[in-house]
Amino acid sequence: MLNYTFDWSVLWRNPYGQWLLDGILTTIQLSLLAWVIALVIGVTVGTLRMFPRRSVRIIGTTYVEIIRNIPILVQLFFWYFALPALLPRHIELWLYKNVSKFPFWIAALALGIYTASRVAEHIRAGLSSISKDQYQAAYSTGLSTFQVYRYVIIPYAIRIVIPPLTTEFVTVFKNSALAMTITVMETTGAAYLIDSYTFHGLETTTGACLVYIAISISIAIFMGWMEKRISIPGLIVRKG
Amino acid sequence: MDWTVIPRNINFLFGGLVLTFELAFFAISGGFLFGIIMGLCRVSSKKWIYAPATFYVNFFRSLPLILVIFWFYFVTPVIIGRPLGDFLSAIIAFIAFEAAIFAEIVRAGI
Repeated sequence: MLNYTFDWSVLWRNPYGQWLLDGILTTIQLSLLAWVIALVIGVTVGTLRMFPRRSVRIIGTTYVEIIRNIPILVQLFFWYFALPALLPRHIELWLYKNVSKFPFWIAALALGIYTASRVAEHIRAGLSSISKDQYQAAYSTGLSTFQVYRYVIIPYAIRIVIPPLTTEFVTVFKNSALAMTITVMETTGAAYLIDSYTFHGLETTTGACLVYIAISISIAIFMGWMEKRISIPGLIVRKG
Repeated sequence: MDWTVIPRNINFLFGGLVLTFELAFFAISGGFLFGIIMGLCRVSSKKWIYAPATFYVNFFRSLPLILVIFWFYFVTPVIIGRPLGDFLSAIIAFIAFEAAIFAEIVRAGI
């Protein structure tokens, strides 16, 4: 055993406690914002991939295959360092200097875009699991293609994909830790920052671990409740 | 724009790629081995076998990988009494993390 004196008070002592609390709040805000972006783009792209017309499907496939195959860390660096550098110099400086919480917005956008590609795959799987009869029945009532998807297919597909989407939602929270690399001080970033001031990294990272576990468990419980609540009787029933 | 930074630093970049492959190799092989054991433990009917394995899997699955890497980096000196080096502690973190994910895949397969 190394001669190491534990000092758990770095988790709540002034000012470190406030940093950690801000970090937790940032994690939650960042993940929720990214999740909204991911759902909007993901459902759209996932539906595009099932379109009858091939040219439309190719757009969706291209998006998914490009975004899904680049590590999220590299994408964060690209959106934060590389993209502003492509803009004119004064706009680049303005972005870094004058836009408040610029790294935060970039992180949310990058996370959202990345997660959207994964959400799109789940949506596609959900859509393909719906039988042809369902489409034909919907068309035979006189709905247009848009209406068939909007009122019949997507509501079914959403319910089928809730379990895999729950996993994705937890993954967004976990991936949001990477935002620390572009200076967003979320939970992991705050833990690391406190370490660099106090050299008590073990305590702070352990505290951060507990925060993530608490968030994951809450999501699992909430999504389980949601799944039961919006389930269609007789179609998909959650067991246990 | 100056794309020549890529050929000028090609050796450095290539070294990074080799490191990526090394990490991936150890993480996949170690994680696969450990993950199969964990997955088998999870389907056991004895509580003292499946309860710790379930805890292990749920614990690591709810943590960000980057946090696990940090945590191992901080925790290993306290346990073994000396710093382990960044590469080795990263590999251990990867194996521990990947094992939890492989365990779930193995369990689903069974």
